[in-house]
Amino acid sequence: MTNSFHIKYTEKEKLAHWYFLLVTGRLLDNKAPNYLKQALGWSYHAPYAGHDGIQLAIGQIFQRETDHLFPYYRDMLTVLSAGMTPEEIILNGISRDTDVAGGGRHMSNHFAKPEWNIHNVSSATGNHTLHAVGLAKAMKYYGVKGVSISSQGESSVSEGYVYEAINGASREKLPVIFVFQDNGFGISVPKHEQTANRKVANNFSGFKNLKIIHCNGKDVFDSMKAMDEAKKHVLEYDEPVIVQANCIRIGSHSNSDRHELYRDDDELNYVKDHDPLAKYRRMLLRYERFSEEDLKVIEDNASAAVKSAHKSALTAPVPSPDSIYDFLYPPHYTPKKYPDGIHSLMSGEKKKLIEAINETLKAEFRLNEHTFIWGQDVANREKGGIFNVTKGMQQEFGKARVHNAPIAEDYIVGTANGMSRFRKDIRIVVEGAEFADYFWPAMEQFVELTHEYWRTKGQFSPNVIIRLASGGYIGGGLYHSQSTEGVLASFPGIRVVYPSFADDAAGLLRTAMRSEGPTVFLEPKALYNAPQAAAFVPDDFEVPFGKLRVRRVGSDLTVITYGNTTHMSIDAANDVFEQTGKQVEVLDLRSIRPLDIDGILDSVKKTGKVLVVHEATGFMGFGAEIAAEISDKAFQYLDAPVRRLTAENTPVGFNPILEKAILPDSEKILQKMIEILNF
Amino acid sequence: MTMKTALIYSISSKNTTAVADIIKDKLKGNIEEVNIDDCSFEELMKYDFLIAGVSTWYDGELPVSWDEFLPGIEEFDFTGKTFAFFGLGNQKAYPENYQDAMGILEKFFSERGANVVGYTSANGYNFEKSLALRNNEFCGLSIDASFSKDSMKTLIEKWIDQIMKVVS
Repeated sequence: MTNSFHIKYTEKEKLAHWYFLLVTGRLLDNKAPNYLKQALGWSYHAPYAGHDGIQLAIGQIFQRETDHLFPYYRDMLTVLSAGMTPEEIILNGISRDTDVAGGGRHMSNHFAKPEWNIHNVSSATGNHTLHAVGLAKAMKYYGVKGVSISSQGESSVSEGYVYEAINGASREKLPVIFVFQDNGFGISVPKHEQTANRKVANNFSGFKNLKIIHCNGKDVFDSMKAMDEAKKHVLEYDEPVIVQANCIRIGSHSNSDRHELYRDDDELNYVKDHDPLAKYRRMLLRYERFSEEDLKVIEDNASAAVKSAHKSALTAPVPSPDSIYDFLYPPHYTPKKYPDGIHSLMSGEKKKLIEAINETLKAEFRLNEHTFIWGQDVANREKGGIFNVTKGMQQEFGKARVHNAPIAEDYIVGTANGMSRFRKDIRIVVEGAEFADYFWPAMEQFVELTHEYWRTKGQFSPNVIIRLASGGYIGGGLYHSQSTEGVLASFPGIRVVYPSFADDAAGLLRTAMRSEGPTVFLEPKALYNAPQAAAFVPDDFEVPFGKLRVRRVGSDLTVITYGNTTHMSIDAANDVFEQTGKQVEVLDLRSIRPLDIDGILDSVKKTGKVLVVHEATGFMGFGAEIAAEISDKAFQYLDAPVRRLTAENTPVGFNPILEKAILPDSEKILQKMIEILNF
Repeated sequence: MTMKTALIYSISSKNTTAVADIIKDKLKGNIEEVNIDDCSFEELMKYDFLIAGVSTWYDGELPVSWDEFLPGIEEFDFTGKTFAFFGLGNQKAYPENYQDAMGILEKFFSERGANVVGYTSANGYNFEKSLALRNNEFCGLSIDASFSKDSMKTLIEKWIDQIMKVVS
């Protein structure tokens, strides 16, 4: 009802409460830079003054029992209005251990309270739109009547992933409100340098199933009306809404910005005259809803609340330097029947790598009803993925759990992150891209996955398994041959596994799907149907993270490898024995991160000689990490320098002559083994 | 004439005030001035003919003066009263919302029964969108930031002649 939000008709208690929030917020907003001046922290503060109307409104329509809120770094009043206390806001600003967003781990002005569904978001502006959409997927699937609210500045809408998010929400008709708080600037960049439309929401006017509402973000009543209308629309029509709120930025972008360098006096006077807080106060008086004395009482109460919060926050504990490794990895599943990831099944029918993955996925989907899989081309009638790894899954588990995704890798990963926030037992397997080579657009969401658990101090772990068909040897050229493990494994907080055989693929996938946290599951696609990778696979096989497997026992040389080159190394080792009588031990790492360094050292101490083999390029390749670890921890046991055999430091060429010249093979490995054995 | 006439605008708006001054000179005192920043809501009802001025800033909302004033007169019936609007805008810098504020005001009063006069041709202007357009005419006098002082004066005086002819 429109009159619920009207200067003349809104209940007096509500008007007073709003005024208290507006004044309290502004006191905090103005006070924040002082903490920096006093060397107490809050080195990053993005003032919200000028966004007062819309931020108050977002917080007021948010209901923590049913809704989810993704605020951005300027949303101080939003979270205050949503129920966070001034003390919680200050504790985040000055990065104390008791900061409810994440104990001072994330940057100041990144307000959050995950236990209330106020999510801890990235500094990569606007990327939480994908999380909001993913969460809305879960709300729709589980039948929750609520909204997922994503808030951001208008300039961040320029990010490609925002378009992906809105496209997805529109296509899937998801309960999301995207709020664009438009203050005209992205730091110092005026909005006409971002996009052609002055009101960026109008860029989306051609999207289906999407309502666009414009409002005056400087006005409390217009903003309340807009947010109320947006929420009602989402709930009634089951489709997303964009609210574009016209705001002003009274201050600089942040305390490291000087807006007088790029804004003229006319504009600065205009924004000063249009201060939303002053306007609201004038209206309360003009419409005789409150007297000067009434307002003074509220202002005094707000001031007292901020003072008390300040005093209390200053006594709060700081984070301990000893805590830096806490919450780096969420709890993993610990196999009980196969604690070392070794089995003795030697009968029955050998399974191909592709069958092992397919059957394990199905088994885990039967076990846990909160499992989902999506990606490009994963399910269309009889086809299940470009390599048919997911064949039959949609038929058995339905479209809601098994479905295709748009060709938008960042969307695939970001929405998985978002959906997994809904409940802890959700596990989402994504084909991050049709080939690992196409995963790069999702890197910014990948980075999010790796540090969400740490950043929230253990409050949220994205339970996502990223499957990627990896590596070369299929004549695929530059974009069907890449090895990504070196880059992906470099991020703290991620687990990366890379099986070479069918049984390990099954075991590692099962462990990944029962663990908390993100795992990259790299599949050597050249081995999907290869007889040499087929194995006997116990139905319940499990392989723990960080446990290598000795695939060939030896005493003269240790070869450390994984994926395609495991098989080439075994072949080469057999040839070496035939040619020289020397025994080469072949270690199949299985886990890239965590790395089984103890298993490696055990072998190195025995043989004294090491060759690291992988198909990725050598420069900055994962082998360099292994070599460095060995040099550091086992130098005294070495009888020869640690050597590496990797791909040449070039892209992988398409012509088979080029591919062969670039990638390792058994012959090259054999030569290198002999070279080291002769050292 | 016996019509009680008012010039209604915010005196805190520099450019609007400059236009208002030209109108006052032209009408030689036969008009009262109402400052919406501090007038009572009922004051409007004293007049038969009201010339209202507003500027459009940035993305096209009403300036705070009008925005704070309108809720107080939402339930008034302006049947029998005549309004003419003048607006200030910048078609080059803000072509997507040129003279929007004038259009918002005109809509507000006409929806409440007011008779509106003083429409002007949009020919010669160059913009993309405007809430002030009614069948290819502006719903009042459109003054652009690019106008020279002299041309603005001529335009305003001509417009005053036009509207006074209608209301007299």
